[in-house]
Amino acid sequence: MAIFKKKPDLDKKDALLCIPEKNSLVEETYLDSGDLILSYPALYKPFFMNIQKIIRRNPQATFLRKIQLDRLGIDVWLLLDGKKNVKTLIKEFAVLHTLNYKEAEISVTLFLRSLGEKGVIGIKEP
Amino acid sequence: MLKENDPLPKTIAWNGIALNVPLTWEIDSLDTTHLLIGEDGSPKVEIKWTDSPSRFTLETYLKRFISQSQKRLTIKIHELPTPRSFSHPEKNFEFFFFSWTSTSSTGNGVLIFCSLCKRLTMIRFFSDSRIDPPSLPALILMSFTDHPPSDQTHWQVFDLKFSTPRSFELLEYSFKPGCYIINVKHKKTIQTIFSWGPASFLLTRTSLSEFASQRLPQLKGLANTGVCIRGNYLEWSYRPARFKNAQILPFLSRYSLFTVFRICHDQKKNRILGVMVDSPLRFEHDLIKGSMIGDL
Repeated sequence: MAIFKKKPDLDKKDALLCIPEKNSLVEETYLDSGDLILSYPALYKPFFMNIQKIIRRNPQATFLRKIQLDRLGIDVWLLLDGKKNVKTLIKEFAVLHTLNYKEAEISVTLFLRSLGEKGVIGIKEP
Repeated sequence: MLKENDPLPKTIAWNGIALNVPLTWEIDSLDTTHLLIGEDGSPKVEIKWTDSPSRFTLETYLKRFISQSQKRLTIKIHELPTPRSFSHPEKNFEFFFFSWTSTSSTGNGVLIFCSLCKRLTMIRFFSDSRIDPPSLPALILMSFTDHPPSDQTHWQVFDLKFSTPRSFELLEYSFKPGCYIINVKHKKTIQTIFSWGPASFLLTRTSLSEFASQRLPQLKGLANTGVCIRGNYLEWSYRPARFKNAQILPFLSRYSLFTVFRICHDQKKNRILGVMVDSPLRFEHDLIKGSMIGDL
């Protein structure tokens, strides 16, 4: 008998109803080119933490990581308000750029996944 | 054009077949002889077709097709009688209705054999509703065609809509967000359809000419300009060499292709559309003129 049951994977229908939320520690800086820099604290990996302990007196647990968003990325970022679900974001992004729903769906979900992996956003289940 | 109050306002046309579906249905996956259409990740209808061999009897051909489909899709197929009130505008179709069951779901479907183009098509609905008019499956079925009614093959997928001469067959395709490419071929003439988007983003820091040169570095010479049905276009005509420095060997020039490429920014659709024709015989300007970015 399994003691630790694995949480069942979300199917696509449920995943589209999830609500992405921005990490409150993210800082935004606009460049002259119109691009947006997102800065957020990230944890050092244990290997680099150990090296820090050897070479520094006051080793720090985090460092500032930055990612640069182009205009399409900024449009998705600005749509994130912590209330809209993924499906609504896709629809609004598709309307904003006159895109087909399927094309917008692939672009937005891939982008949100990459932001989620970096810890820039979190995903709330409905 | 979308029709008001039409339950099936959207047309999907791919590699010779065409059908109408509800507005919210989208293509989930496609192949040269397969389409899976769904809504919010749930499959709604699946279409699989095959061209008949040169010599066959319909009975054995049907049996083999059903057997292969059952194995490939891991479903069980049970024959159903033809609904009494069902009739289709295409008189060359023969229908074989069935129900199907798999471990997780059930539904109804139909096998269609066209005596004109000898194509056999299986349409599988992921719902138990009967294929009786005016049910949704029956309406979809009545809109289905498996060969173009004219000398042009109509294509309509993911907001990309165009026609090609009927003799052209699908060679390759690629649908990536921001870039669709479809290649069709007739004898040694290859027509390539491009659609890039969103144009307002792609053309923010570059001109249409620079964009074309970035995407297709093989373009040579100066572009002609003009106005087509979708707006202003740029057009290149050149004869690419088969390999580097091939042009210094005059006898090789007869093996080089005649290439015409037209690109246009469709501001209404926010797309950049391109059509390229490679032909061994001549510059195929007529194909370009009759394309989705053809002349006014």
